[in-house]
Amino acid sequence: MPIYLIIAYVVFCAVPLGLALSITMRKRRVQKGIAALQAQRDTER
Amino acid sequence: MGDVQRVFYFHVSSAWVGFFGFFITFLGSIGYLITTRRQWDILAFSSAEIGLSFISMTLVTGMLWAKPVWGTYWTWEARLTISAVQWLLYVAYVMLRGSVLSAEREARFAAVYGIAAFVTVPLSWFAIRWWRTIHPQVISSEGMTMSATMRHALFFALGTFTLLYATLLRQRIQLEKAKDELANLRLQMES
Repeated sequence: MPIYLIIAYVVFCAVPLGLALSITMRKRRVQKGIAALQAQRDTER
Repeated sequence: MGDVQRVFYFHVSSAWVGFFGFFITFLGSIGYLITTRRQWDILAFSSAEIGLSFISMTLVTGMLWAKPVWGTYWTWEARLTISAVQWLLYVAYVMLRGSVLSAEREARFAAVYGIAAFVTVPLSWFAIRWWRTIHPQVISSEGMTMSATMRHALFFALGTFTLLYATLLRQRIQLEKAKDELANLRLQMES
């Protein structure tokens, strides 16, 4: 199998997977921030 | 063309998703300008980010295909030049979204930009029809110039990539909504 095809397959796997991972990581970070603020608000009450 | 021809199915499918993503950005931008509702802005921004990723993939794999077939990674012909300009325009769009403008001004400016940048999509589509280029033409006035087996594989890839786009878009919209929730909580805590 030519090297061009192998690199192309790697790109096709890496880009959507990388995008999905990036979205998941950012979402997790934001959700942690929300949880921390909610906990802070609850203790202040 | 040999094995390298297999790149075609993914290359065309990612280009389709890129174009479709930019079309949704275009619709979202119009929706925002008409209603000024945040949902439209979220849709436009989320779709642009995904569209840009897929167009980047299209450019890279197009170059990988071109090297063994054309003997060069890149040539400044109409379709490729428009694709490069399109890529730069949407990179600028995504960068604009992280600007220091107020949220409302940023969304309004991005909406106008999102509508203007969409011009590159029909321009890219028609580039290989209007001008003499070396880029292959899959769909011409005579229909699709490929065998039935290739057509089935291409349509399967198109369907799969569209599903992937829909899944990523849903996740990206949820992220933007969570960011809004966090910003609102911060405002409440400060006041």
